[in-house]
Amino acid sequence: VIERAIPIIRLRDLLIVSIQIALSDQLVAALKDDIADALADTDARGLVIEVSGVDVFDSYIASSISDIAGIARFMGVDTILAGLDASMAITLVEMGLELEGVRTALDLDMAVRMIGESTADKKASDRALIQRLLGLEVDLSSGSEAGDPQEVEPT
Amino acid sequence: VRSTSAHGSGALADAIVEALEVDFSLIIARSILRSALHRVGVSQRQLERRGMDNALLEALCRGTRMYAKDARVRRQCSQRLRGLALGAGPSSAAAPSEEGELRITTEDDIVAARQKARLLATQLGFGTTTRIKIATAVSELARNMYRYAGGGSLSMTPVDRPRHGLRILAEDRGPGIPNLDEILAGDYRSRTGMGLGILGCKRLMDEFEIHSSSEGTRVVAHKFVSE
Repeated sequence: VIERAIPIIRLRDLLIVSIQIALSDQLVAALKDDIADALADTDARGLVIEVSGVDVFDSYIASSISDIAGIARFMGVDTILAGLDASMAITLVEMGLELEGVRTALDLDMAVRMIGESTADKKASDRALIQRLLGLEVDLSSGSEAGDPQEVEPT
Repeated sequence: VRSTSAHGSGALADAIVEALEVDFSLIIARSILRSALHRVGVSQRQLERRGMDNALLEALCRGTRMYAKDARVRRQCSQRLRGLALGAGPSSAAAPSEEGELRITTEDDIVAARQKARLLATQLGFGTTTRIKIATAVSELARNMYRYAGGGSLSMTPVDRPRHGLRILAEDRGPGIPNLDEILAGDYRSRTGMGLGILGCKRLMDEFEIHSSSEGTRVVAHKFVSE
């Protein structure tokens, strides 16, 4: 029997899953397990599920994606769904299906940027917390941009 | 620019690639189609007008033999392709295909059913979004039969009255759906999303009738081509 697993790609601190085949229930179930294993084995900060190749997005697939996002959230990982095309988005809305706990992005590029941004926010808030715990003054203006190099005034 | 369709250009080419993709990767599926077309001397463009005939079917099956060692895989694949031949009918896009009944007994049948639904919807002149809606509705019906009724049968038929469109009939001899009223009112939600499937299907179609008893369930749904 031909191996039909969907590959999970690791890129820096992201796990990327791009679905390019018609999904059977069996494949979806296997994907759920594989993603949970991959999340446990890595210290990924974000999970991107790219679905531009999915033929149909029905209730089972939608609830499976929500489940995957739920598992990821428990492991401290954000999930972003990328590449859902307009026809499928309309169909999902019309059916009354919700993708609970899943953020969406137009495409993979945007998804990767969104994860990067939320990671920068997290770093900034971590830094603010550490400063507060150490009894230091918290400078909110620089805290929110902690990820960016600061311009130093020439003296 | 973002690509939304991973497949070829025409509806039949897409359907063939999708049928092959159940067992093969996209690249292999495309190459099986390409070499089969080459073998029967038909171009991608001619394919849509010509439809699936026995020569092409034979060439495609020959292609699958090169990649699949397992006889069972090859047999399933050829059955799926044969289904397209039925669905595609006598080539002309203006004359929609004859009635085709599908047995839903395995998971792969769910995928095959929605692929066929999409092909038929394309042939009947439905727009892109409506094609997806029809394929999604068929997927929900097929899955419910497979999961909760131990299988069933599904047929898709073109209709002309009251308007030009598609009729979907799903029948099974399962135990019936006990809390149907609750489901249709949107008050019921299961973890597996069962209620959502039926309600979703109803919302996606223009007309939806369901009868369920301890003898089985029968759904008749219509979608009409908007003028």
